[in-house]
Amino acid sequence: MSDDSITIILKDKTYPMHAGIPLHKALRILDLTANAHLALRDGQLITEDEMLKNGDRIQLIAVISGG
Amino acid sequence: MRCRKCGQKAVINMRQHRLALCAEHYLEWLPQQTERFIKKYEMFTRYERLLLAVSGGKDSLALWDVLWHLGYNVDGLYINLGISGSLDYSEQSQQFAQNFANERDLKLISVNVHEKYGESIPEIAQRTRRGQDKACSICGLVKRHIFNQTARDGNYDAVITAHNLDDEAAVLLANSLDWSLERLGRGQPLLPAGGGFVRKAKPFCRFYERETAAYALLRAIAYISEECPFSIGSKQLFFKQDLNRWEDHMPGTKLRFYLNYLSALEEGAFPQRQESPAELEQQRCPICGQPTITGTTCAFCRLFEK
Repeated sequence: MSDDSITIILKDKTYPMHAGIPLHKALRILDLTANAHLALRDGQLITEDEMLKNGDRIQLIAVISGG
Repeated sequence: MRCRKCGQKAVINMRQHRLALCAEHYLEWLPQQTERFIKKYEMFTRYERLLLAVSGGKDSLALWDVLWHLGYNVDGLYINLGISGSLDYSEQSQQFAQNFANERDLKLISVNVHEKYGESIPEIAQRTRRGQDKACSICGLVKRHIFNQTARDGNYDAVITAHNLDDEAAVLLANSLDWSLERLGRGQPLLPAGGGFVRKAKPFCRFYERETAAYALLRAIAYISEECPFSIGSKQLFFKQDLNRWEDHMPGTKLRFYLNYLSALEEGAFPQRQESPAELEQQRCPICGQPTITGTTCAFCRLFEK
């Protein structure tokens, strides 16, 4: 396994993870539904097939509201 | 993944439509689709005065932005419910709504429930039997009353809400599980005016929640992202989470669920409201003058009966 790592941020929590996986797989590891989240890398929206590379910081936005 | 229209890098993939788009084409696509739905369901025209219910959240501010860009004549209505919690929820959300309006020189009408009726939503909920353990029920009732009253007082042609497909699908699932035929009979994207009720329309009803959020992000719209403290643990959130799990495995599930329901509704699968507009016209609340199916004091005014 590579030592390369990424960081996933959701609200005030951070989740370190190995790099080299697509976003949809990272979401599955965290037990998060892709349809309930958007993901930003460097402030840009990315799609679920995007490969996460060493050093990436991915900001997740939970989009489901219950008002 | 590449944009279907130009081949540039896509920022969103809508699996239910098999459509990926870049930022530029997504910001064209969503307003075009909104316009299509407005026309398809004959919701309203550019010659009418519209009142949009604005919460300060992503959906209502995104819809206001879209309608404004499309050239519709739309004012906003913010209702301050007096919900505080650790982050002063109502004050903060009002600030987002007001900032949005100020930056675009749009008109925002604000109604403060505590100032107008002497009690906030949490206070009413605590005092009344209807609100015990479910402030959301009081909140919905109060908001519907104020939307209709404000629209009638201001001579607006229609009240617009920013319900998205996830909202509609979650309500549909809840009503289906309860076999609530009466509620299933009134889930149309457009409810015509009649009997004292102003027309109601939901132009975002066919967008997934992540699509309205993506629009808000790409347009750099500042919105309140915190949840209403009363919605935590709500049934609606629970149903939305489950629907999204199904959607992840079976793309298009939510869209089919909702669109097939609309088809069934159109074919008369569910009972429609029994009272005719003329009957409702006769049945006005003696206190506020708004329509009521009971013909006596309406549910809203009963909240304040001593």
